[in-house]
Amino acid sequence: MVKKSKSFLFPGLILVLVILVSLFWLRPKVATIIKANRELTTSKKTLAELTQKVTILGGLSQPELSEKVDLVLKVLPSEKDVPRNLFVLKRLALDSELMVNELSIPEVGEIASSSAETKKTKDEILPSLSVKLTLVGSREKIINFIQQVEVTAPLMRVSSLAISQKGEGLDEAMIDIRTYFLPFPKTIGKLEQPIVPVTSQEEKVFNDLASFKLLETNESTFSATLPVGKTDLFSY
Amino acid sequence: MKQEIDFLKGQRVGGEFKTKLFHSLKVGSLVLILAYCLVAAAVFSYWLFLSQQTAKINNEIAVKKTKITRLKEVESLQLVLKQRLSSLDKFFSAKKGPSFKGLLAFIGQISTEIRVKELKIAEDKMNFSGIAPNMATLEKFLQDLKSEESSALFSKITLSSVDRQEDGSYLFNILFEKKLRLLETKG
Repeated sequence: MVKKSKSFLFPGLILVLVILVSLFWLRPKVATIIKANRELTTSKKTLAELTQKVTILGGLSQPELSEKVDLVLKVLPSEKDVPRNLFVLKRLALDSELMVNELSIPEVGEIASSSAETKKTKDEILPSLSVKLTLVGSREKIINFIQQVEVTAPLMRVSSLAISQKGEGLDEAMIDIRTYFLPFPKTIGKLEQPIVPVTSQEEKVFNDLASFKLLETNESTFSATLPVGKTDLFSY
Repeated sequence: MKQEIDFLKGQRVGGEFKTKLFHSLKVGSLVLILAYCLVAAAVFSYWLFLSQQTAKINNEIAVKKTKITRLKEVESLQLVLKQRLSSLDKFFSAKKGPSFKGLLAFIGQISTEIRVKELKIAEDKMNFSGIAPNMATLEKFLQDLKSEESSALFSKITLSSVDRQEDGSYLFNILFEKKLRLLETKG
């Protein structure tokens, strides 16, 4: 009887051992492997994306990009640049030998630099600011002014025009001009964000921007003559 | 001749069977433990391999992230450029009507004998109010509006009013609906 039990003891022990090891070691290990495998797949994907991003970024020239961004920002500023818009329009009117009767911005709204919450109407692609202008001069000069507005930075478009005769060969034009701007993107510099290269069509757009006329603004035109503080606080 | 009868034969056969069974169980158990050990070793090796791979890839990711952080300025410039150029591309490719210059040139060309009282051009419409010295001039003006050039610029032209003035001239008002199209040229 004892001999019989001894014969069953060894296989029984092995069975118990197999069950115990399976329960407390093998099962958790397999679960860990499945999880690690999933994580490894994700990590490999992330690595591939990051490698691609590094390759793209490495191929870009910083000075060239800075130059391009500088030009693009002159054509499409990041905020409502009221003084610059007024300066450019007045200068264009004067260059076209037109008399400026009225130059106003009816609704400026928020001018905060980071006002990314811009109000755009449904059909508008870019946020804009409306400028109203009344000019007096010959029809040819008014046409010339309109042409100049559309090829001068910052980006502007004539949205409406009303011409009425003032006198012999003299017209009065009430022009509504939209000046465009675009706030900076909200997500600059996220590590996992992929880099989307500039398409050939966008390159073409950039080449068109290069032909925009850039008017040099004299800083003193805008800077108010504010009283400056004393350099020596103890002098009277 | 002495004859022997084995009365325990059946019992001996039963004992042999049990011995064989115990032996098979023993061997089977050994095979099982061996196979199990092999499976466990394979699982452990694969886990070790995965851990090493994960550590290696995580290390590479960290290196790439450092490189990207160093190129952050370039990335920001590229993002700004892309954002602006794609928006400008959409802006320039949007449906637009004929240019103000084109419209003014056309009206100027056909209204040489007509006094322009008021001309209003909006994004999709144009309103022209003029004074013709006589009916013949007005007729010629209206005839000119049916030209090919006119149909290229406008989708609909409506003569909304004509009033004869005291001095014999005609005050008229025309409403034009501009043709909208996708522009190929920019600026």
